[in-house]
Amino acid sequence: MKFFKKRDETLDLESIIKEFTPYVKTMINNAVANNLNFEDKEEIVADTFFVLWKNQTKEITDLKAYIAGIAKNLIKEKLRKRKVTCDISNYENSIEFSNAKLFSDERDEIDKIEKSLANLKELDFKIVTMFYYSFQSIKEIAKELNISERNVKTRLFRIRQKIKKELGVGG
Amino acid sequence: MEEEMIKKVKLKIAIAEIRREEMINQRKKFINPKIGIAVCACFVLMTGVVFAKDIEQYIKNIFNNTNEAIDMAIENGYVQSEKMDYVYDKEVGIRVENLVLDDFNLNVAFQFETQKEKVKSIRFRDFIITNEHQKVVYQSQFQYAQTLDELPLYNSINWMNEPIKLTDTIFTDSILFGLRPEKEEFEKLYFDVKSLNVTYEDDTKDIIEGTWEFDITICEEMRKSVNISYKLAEKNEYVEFCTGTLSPTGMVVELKLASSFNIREYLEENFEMSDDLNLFLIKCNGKEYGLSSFEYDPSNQIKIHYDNIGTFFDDLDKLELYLKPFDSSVILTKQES
Repeated sequence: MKFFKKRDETLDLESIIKEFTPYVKTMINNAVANNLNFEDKEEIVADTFFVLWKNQTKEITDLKAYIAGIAKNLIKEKLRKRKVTCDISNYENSIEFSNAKLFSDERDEIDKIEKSLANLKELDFKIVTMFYYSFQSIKEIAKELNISERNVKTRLFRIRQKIKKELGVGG
Repeated sequence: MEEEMIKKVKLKIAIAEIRREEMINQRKKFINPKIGIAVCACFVLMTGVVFAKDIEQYIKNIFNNTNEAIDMAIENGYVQSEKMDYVYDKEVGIRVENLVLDDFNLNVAFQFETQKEKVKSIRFRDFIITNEHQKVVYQSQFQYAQTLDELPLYNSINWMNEPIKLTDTIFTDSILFGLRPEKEEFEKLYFDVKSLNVTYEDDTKDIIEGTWEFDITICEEMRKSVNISYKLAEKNEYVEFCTGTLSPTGMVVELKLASSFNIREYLEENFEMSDDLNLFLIKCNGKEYGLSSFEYDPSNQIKIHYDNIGTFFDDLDKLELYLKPFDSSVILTKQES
């Protein structure tokens, strides 16, 4: 687990995603085969790492097993949502129980917002993730992307307003 | 391929952060535009005002020590949200976030802010709450009271659940005080905090002594909360009289049992009944509500407290009070005010 932590002790999520995406995809395909479509499977993979990030303050001794446990629970959740009867018990029993909280309501809301941002421009994507994922300042973002600070602020404001509207809290 | 997945996950996380930020911002400016901002900063919402389900849940979660009736009251907008600044001393800021008050209960949610590192929780240690009549509402240091006047206004406290860590620097804790019904109405609460208990992530503890003094004004809607009164519908062989008072945050039923039955003897012989929450059960709207506590005196008068039913519940015209010792019920009917 130490291997996947940054100097500030936060999770090195990018390294983890690179390392474990093939593993998680294989898991999902083995468990559900063609019972879920490609988009649903991709969603499970992304949600697995999102849930891992949300649970990063927990004590994790075996990262691979922990990720597998999360993926297993998300597979079951997706099958329930799609009302697909798919017996994964043989496969399931080989994976340890995961105590990770799944944040289902939050993920549903995020999913909805993600769809509304489907046409997000590359520049806007970079700005919002640099600000909210990498926690870079407006100044740093402006310098790195070679645009004005005002431009960064305006774009951030517009994205926030769009998301607020989806959240139903005005905008 | 993995690059696309990284982008997707980063976007999810960014949306989650914006969502969290919005929830915190909405909590601070939670108003009904029809009422406008009252001078006393009371945000009582009317039905029909649309707000994000998560905001309501967020406020409810801040009250980590609460009861079911209060949860329902908050869902219906019966909550006062404060806009005060933090009061700082010894690198810790404290403020009141939300408050629920009626004749039976006072529930106050506090927020703490500190730049101290690796803090797990912060909680009051030595503090006193008074009102503008110089009456003590609550004091952490026990004091013997010589007269009724000296008794604090609280008669119970629910402070069992742990404080909540919202972020690395912000913490919340709430305390639920049961109030004595004989208290007079008050408008202001004064908080005088002298020390705090701080627990760090490695479970070491520290006491911080300082001075944090602040006050809040209770809004009119809370001070003049509307109760519903109940009376016995018809005589019953087991009950001489029975009345009920339902407030937004709970209910009190007072009854006098027939002199042929001695409650004290009954409980001594059936001691397991002393802990039975269904000893005096309220039934209404197809549901049953067990008591939270009861007390009795030698004259067979019993006072029963319920914290799981309040004025924001449905179908309250008639309540059935089931008396387990007799396997019998009485009906309480709502009195027109």
